[in-house]
Amino acid sequence: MSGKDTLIVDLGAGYVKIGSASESEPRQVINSVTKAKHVKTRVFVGNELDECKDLSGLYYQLPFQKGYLLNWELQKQVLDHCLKPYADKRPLSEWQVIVTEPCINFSPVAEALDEVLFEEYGFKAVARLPAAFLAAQRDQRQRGVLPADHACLVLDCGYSFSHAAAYRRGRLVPGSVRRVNVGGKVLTNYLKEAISYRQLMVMDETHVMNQCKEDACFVSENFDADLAAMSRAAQRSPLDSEAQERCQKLCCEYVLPDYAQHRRGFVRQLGSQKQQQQEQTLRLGIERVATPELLFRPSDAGIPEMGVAEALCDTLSGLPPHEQPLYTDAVVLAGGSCRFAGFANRLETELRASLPDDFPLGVRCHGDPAAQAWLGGRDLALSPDGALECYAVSRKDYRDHGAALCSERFAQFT
Amino acid sequence: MVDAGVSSRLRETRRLVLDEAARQRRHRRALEALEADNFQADPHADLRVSKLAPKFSDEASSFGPSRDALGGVAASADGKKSRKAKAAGGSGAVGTLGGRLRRNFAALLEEELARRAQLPGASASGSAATPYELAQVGPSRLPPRHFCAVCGLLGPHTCVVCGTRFCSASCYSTHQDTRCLKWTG
Repeated sequence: MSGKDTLIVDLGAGYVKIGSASESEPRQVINSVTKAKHVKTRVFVGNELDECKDLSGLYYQLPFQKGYLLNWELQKQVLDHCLKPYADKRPLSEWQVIVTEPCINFSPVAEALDEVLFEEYGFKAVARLPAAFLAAQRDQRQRGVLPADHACLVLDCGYSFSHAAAYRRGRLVPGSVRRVNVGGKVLTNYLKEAISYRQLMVMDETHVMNQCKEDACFVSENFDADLAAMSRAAQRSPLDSEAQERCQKLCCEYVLPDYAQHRRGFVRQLGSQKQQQQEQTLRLGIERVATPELLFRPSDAGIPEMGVAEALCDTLSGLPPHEQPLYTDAVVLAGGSCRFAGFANRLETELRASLPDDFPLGVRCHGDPAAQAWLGGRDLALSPDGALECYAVSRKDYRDHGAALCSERFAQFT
Repeated sequence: MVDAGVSSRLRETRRLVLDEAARQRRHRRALEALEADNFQADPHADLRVSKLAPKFSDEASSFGPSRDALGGVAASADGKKSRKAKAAGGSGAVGTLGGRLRRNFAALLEEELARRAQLPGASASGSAATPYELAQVGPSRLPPRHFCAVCGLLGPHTCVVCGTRFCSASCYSTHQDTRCLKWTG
């Protein structure tokens, strides 16, 4: 098997990242069958949404629930849509596929996935691997560490939840997975609620606010100082120059899309331009940093859980003490919610504060965090030693030994 | 004396203080709202496909039948299975999966628990916790921060009636006018 006929499908709850191994980056397809308020004659599967003129008031139907693939009626439609360009090139029975699953999966969910890939699509071979595993593979290959020496911590912040997991020599360290139930969806909903109460009713506009989150939000390097500066400004107390700078950095306008001039909103500095007529804007302040802050402090929204940095430390505390410095040297970021500006810096600050000072610390991200698992799959497919073969199950084996073989082989990595 | 009626009604509301259970209930509802996919109702829910409308046969495609204009997919969001999926049987969209087509997360978790309990040795050790539950992180060691529900900045004060945080007198009056005891649900 050569690597070129491999499809890598990172099946995320928010976006499906898909592409063949000969491509350099994945195509991101929104994993939803979407209904638009003003278009009653059709639904939009995946990126067909680009054909929709008015993206306000979209209604999502997601195949994923709480981060697990539970609705195949919807997933099949989205997958059909994603796979079409590749099926046109050559029949799917000549492709092999690497598909991702969550760090901890339920066996019925996993079996259904195997079954659909083999029996509905008829792929030549299937490798079902956790997204965090692929991110670890990517780190190992990019850093050029020998597989036998490799150790890393993966932080996978996705749409539904975030996982911290430790990988050693290409295997998951048993019992090292930690889950924080905060992901992109919670952040968007939190922002939506704050804006809806304070300014403009946007509860229906999940899509627009998700874009607003992506465009305007960032992780503060010192959230408490930002809060203090904004509070002083709100009370009209005199500000020192540092506080003033902080406030200026935070306050901005977000121009909402009008679907005539522009399809996507954008950030504008306050007072940089006169407000145009019929333009709708949001004034953003502390929300810009308070929203991603939930990843680090879920208790801010009343979610009684640790933040991602604490979860990483919790994972680390379960590992053998003499090996811990190996892991802290490679903290790998994966998942779309790690994309916020300043995320890596903040994570480093928080980890540094809670680790012994002789531990090395390296927060690493090889390229776009959202594509990390996909790129890891691509590295795996293209690796000259044919590493993929030991992870994959061929259609023939599936026919002969059934689903049990798949569960057995793939279970080694979860 | 003219506004006696109004003020007595206001006083009535102010005396009502939410107890701990009610506050918990509110809190839980707020958390559920954070998990929701959509806030609004399905915009196509009231759509009816006329029986007289022409039905187009599925276009030939390399894998499975494509969806029809409205019927198949539009219905599938709600409780009922779409007409198409029912009719699909062996040849249809994901016919081989049968009843496993659509699941519910709570049911999945329950099923997993039941399976763990049946495993040999599970009852002996007394722990039937699933990996899913084991991976769940505990509460943070850091003390929670409280934010003003109105402006989002630090909220050192607590509303006596409903327990919501606020930062200043002006935010408190906004809170009383808009949210206190009038919160959604």
